[in-house]
Amino acid sequence: MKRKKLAFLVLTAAISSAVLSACGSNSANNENQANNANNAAAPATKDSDKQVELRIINWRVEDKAFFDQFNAKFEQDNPNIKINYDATPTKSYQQLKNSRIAANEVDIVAGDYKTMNSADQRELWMDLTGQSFLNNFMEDALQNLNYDGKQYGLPWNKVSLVAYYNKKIFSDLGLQEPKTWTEFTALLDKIKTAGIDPILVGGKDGWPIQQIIHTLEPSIVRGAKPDFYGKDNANVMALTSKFTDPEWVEVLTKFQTISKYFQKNSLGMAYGQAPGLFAQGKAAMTIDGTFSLTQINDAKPNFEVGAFIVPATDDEAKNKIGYAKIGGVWFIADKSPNKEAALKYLEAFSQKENYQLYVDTVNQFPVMEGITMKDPLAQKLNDQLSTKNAVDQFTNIQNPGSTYQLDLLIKIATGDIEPEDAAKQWQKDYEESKPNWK
Amino acid sequence: MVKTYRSWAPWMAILPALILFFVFKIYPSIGTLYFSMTDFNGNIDHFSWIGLKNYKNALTINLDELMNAIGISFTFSFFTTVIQNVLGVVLAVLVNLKIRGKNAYRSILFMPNVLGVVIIGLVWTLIFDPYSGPMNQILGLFGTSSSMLGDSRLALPLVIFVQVWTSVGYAMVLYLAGLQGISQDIYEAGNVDGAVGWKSFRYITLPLLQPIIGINILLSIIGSLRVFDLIMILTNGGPENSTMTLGMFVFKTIFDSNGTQGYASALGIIHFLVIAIVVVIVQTYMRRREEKLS
Amino acid sequence: MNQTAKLPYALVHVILIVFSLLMLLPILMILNIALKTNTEFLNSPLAIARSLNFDNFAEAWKQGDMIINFKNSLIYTACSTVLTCVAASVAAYPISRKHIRGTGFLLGLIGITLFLPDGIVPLLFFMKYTSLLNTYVGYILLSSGINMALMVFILVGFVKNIPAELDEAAALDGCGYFRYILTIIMPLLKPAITTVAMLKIINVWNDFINPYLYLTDKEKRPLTSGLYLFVGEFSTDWTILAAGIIIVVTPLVLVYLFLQKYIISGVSSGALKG
Repeated sequence: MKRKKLAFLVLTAAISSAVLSACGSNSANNENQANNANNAAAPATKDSDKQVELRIINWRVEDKAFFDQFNAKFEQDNPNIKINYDATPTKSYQQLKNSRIAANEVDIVAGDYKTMNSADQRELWMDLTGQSFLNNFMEDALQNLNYDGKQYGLPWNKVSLVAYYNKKIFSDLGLQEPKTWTEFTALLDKIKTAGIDPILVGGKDGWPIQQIIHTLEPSIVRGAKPDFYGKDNANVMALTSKFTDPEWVEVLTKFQTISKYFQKNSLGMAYGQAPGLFAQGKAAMTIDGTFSLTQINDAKPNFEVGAFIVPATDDEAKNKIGYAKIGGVWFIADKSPNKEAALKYLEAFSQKENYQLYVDTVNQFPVMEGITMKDPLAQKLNDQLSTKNAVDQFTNIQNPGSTYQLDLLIKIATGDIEPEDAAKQWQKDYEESKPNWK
Repeated sequence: MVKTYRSWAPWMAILPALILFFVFKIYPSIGTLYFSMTDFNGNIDHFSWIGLKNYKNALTINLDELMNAIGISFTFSFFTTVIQNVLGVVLAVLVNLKIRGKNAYRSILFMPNVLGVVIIGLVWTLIFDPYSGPMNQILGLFGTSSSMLGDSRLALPLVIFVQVWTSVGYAMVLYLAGLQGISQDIYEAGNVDGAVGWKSFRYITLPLLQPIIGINILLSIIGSLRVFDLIMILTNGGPENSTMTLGMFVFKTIFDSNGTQGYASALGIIHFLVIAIVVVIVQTYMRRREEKLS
Repeated sequence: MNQTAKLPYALVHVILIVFSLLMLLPILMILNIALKTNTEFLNSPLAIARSLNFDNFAEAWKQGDMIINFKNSLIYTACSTVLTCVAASVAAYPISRKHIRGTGFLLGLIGITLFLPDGIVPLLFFMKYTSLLNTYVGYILLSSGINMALMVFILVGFVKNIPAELDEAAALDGCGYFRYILTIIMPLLKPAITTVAMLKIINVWNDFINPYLYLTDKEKRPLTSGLYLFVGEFSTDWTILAAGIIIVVTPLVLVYLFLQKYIISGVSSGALKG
C-alpha cells in the first residue's frame, strides 16, 4: 500500500514539474516573439536585419545528416534567419504538405514533378526564372521543372533504375553484363537453371513493380517514337497514341517475361527489405533505384556489387534513351512572407561546395556539372547515366486526373492477365477517366 | 423518479465535452463534407464548387474498385469482430478467476494495445518476412513455405490475425471491467439456485454483460471498418488489392496526387455512409434483443 | 469463485500461457533487434544478439531529440487524459440517465461521429485563426476533443450498470447534481474511468501524425515524432528504430502496469459495492 502511494506521488510530482517548466519556457518564447514583433514594427530596422523564421518541409528523413550540417552552417552565415526544418516519412508527407500549404505555414516545400503538374498547383509556387543560382544546374534537369517558360522548381538530384548484381554469382556462372535484351533473358535463364533466384523485388508497396516498367518504356516506346505522348500528353489524350499500340504491348510483354524471374514472395516483401536481403546473397540481382546503393553498402555484402542499366531492346540506338527522374525538388511557396530568405537558402544549396557536400552525404546522383561521387560504383553508374539521353517517367507526363491502372502490372506478374488484355484494359480505364481530366 | 436538480444542471455537465466534441469532430467533418463538393486540390485560393460530381465519378468510373473495397472491408470486419469478441469474453472470464499470476496475464494480454499501430505493423512485417521471418522458418520445419503477406489468398487472413492480435486485449479489458461490475451477490444467489460453472456463465454473466457486449461489438465493427493504418504498413492494400479495404482505398486516393483532395473527401464521406448504414442495422438489431431480454 | 469451480485450473493456465507467449514474443524480438548492430541485423535478423550493444539506444535518444520530446509527451498525455476523464464522466451521467431532452439524438450523434472521417484542413484553419496552432493548450484540447465521443460512449455503458435507485436515494438526501456526480458516481466509475484513462494515455502517447500537423515547432513535439524520424521510405534503420520503439514504449508499459494495479485495488477495496 505504501509503495503504491509513493509511486503515485512520484508520478504526480514528475508530471506537475514537467507541466510547470513547460509553462515557463512557453512564456519565454512568447516574450521572444513579442520582441520580434517590436523589432519588425520599428521603422529603423532594415529589412535584411529582420528576424525571419524560415519554415522548410521535406520527406527525406534519410538526409538528416546533411540538413543538420547545412542548416547549422546557413544559420551561422545568416544570423537573422532561423530555420525550422521538418521532415516526415513519405506516407504522411502528403498530409503534412497539404495542410501546411493550405494554412500558409510554410516557405520552402520539397516536392517532385507532380507537385507542379496542374495549373492550380503551379499557382502555389514562386517563379524562379532568372535567379542566378539556377545556372549551376544541368539544362535537362531544369527543363523537367519548367512549364511555359517559367521555372518552378530547383532540382536536387536524379535517380535512375539499375540492376545491381552479385559479381561472385556472375563469375561463378561465367556471366557478363548484358548489352541487349536477348543477352539479358539468356542470362536470367542461366541463373534460374543454376537454382538461384535471378531477381529480388520488394513489391509490396506497388511502385517498385512499376519501376520496372520505367526501365523498359523509354527505350521501347520513346526509342521507336520520340513524340509518342506529345506535349502535355496531347497525343494520348487525342487517342492518336494508345496503350494498345505495339510498342506498349511490347513493354508489358517484356515486363511479364522479367516477372517470371522474380523471387517467390516478390509481391509481399516490403521494399525496404530488398537491399539487405540482396546483400545477404539471396538473389543474383535486384532491380532498384540508384538511391538504394547506400543501403546495399550498409548491409556490408561479402561479395563485390556490380550494376548495369537493363537493356530493353536489341537495338543499341534505342537503348540510348534512358530513364532518369528528378529525385526531389525545392519549391518556394508563392504566398510565403519570407521569399527573400527562402531564395537565400536555395542559393546556398546551389553553391558548388554545399552541393558537393550534399551529394557526398546522401549519395545521390548530381544534376550539376563537375560534381564527383565518392563511391566507385556510383561514379561508374554516373558515367553510364550521362551517356544516356535521359527522359522522365511517362507517368509524369500524364494529364492530371487520368487513371492508369498500375495494379494491372501485378496481375501480369501473377499471370492473371495477359499483356494484350492488360493493355486493352489500361486503355479502357484511361478513356473512361475522361470526366476527371483537367 | 424524483426530480430535484435544476434543469440547466445536466446541460452544464455535458457542456465541456460537448464543446470539445463539436469543435474538434463535428466542425471538421462538416468541412470535409463541404470540400467533397469542390475540386479542392490544396490551393485554397483556387477551387470551385462542383456539386455532386465527385460522388458521381466515384459511383461510375470507380464503381468496381469501390464495390471490391466494400466487400473486402465487410469480410475483414466480420471475422475480426467475431474472433475478437469471442476471445475477448473467454479471456476476460479466465483472467477474472482467482488464479495465480492473473495480473501478469492481464498485463501481457493487453500489451499490444500499448504499442501503437505503426509499431505493431513494423513488428509483424518482420515476423512474416518470407526469407528470414520466424513464421516461415517454422513452416520450413514441416518442409513447406509460403510467401505470407505476398500471397493474395493468405494476406487478408493474416491481416485479420494481426488486427485481432492488436485489439483482443482491448476487448478483454472492457469485458473485464464489465465482469467486475457484476455484483458477487448475484452469483451467490445463483449458486443457491444451482447456477454454477457453465450455467452461471450462460444465465448470469452473459445477460449481465449484454450492454458491454453491445458496446464491444459496435466498437469492433467501427474499428475494423475504419482501419487503414495497420493495413497500410502490412500490405499497403496488396497483393492484387486483396487487402484493399475501404479505408485503405480512401487513404490511397489522398496519397495519389492524381486524385484531388475534393475527390478524396467524397470517398471519405462514402466510407462514412457505409459504416453508418452497417452500424444502424447492427444497433437496431441489438436494441430489439435488449428489449426482449429485459 | 464458485461460478467456474468446475474449470480445471491447469487448462486455464495452459490457455493463458499460450496467449501470453503470442503477445510477448514479437515484443521481445524488437528488444533483441535493438541490441544488435546494423550489420548483425541485416545478416541474421533473428539470431539472439551476440553481445549487449546499447549504442542504438544512445543513437536513438540523441537523433530523436528525445529529452525535450519526453517532457512534451508527459505534458500532453497527462493534461489531455485528465481533461478527457473529467469531461467525459461528468457528461456520461446525464446522457445515460436521459436527464436532458434529445438524449437519443445526442447518443446517435456521438455514435455517428465515432466513424466520421477526419477533416484535417478545416481543423487546421480553426487552429490557425484561434491561435491554437502550435501551442500546448491547442494540442491538449485537440487530443482531448478528437475522440471525446468514444470516451463518453464507453462511460455511458458503464453508468447504466449503476442502479438508478441510488440516484433517488441521493435525491432524497438533497444531494446537489454536480456533487452527486463527483462524489458518488465518479468513485463508482473508477474502474471504467481507469480504463478510459488508459486508452487515452495510449492514444495520445502513440499519436504519430497529429503532432506533425498541428505542432510546427520541433521543440513542442512529443516523443513519437522523434521516433518517426527513423522510418524512411528508402532506408529504415531497423536497429535504431527498434531501440527508439523500446524507449517510447517503456514508460507506457510502466504506466500501464501501475494503472492495472490501480484497477484491481479499486475493485478489491469494494468501491463497486458502494
